[in-house]
Amino acid sequence: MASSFDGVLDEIKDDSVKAAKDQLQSLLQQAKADSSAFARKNAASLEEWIVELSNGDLDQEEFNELIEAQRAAAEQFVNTQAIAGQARARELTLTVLDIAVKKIAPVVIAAI
Amino acid sequence: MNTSVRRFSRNIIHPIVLALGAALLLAGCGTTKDAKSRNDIASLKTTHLAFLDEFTEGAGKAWDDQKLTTRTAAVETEFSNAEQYEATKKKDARRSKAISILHSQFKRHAAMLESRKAFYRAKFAANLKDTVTQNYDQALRGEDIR
Repeated sequence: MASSFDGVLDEIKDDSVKAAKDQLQSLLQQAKADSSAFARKNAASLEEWIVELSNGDLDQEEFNELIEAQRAAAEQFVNTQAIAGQARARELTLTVLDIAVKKIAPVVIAAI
Repeated sequence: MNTSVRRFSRNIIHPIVLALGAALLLAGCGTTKDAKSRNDIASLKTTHLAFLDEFTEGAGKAWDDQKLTTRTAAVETEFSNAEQYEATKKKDARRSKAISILHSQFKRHAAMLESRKAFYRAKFAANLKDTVTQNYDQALRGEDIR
């Protein structure tokens, strides 16, 4: 049982999701260094929920609901951005959530 | 018109005309501030968070289907009122989208309770409230930066 986000990712040995893991880690690093407080919070929350999912503190339905709620908040965030900044805002929030829920969470759930 | 009157007109009337022109331009672009719209979003935030609190597990609480139905209908009415107010004005795509995102989210939360017929667990509810708060805060920020 991993107690940190990096620990959860380290336990994923499936080569088929290696590219997704690398992309997620790269985007999360960019999000955490971003000037937007929302992007930083989005990244931190996602990491926390994946650890809680792995530990059984959240069940699958709860995790999915939190991702959907965060996706709604991220859409709201993108909606407030100037047109020129929307693609970057989307990449650092919505794309991160998509990779986590489509590629990483299923492997974490299968390992529980 | 003599020279002094013409100078007066240029100094006094011209800025007024400019200000009126700017006001008309802002009114026409469809992204103007609206205190009632902002208040509606702030009020919905309070209502939505209270709804989540009400349906989070706690000592002495017993599940009641009828209570969920009643409370959900009350929140839906508040959303409908806000949406109807927006429909009476010039269309503002960003604000309409903001309220639509908030409303869809509330529907999901009510539907999850309806399907599970159980209170939210405390850990999940804390995370959910944090995320819902961010959502409303972004919508309010969208109002403030107009």
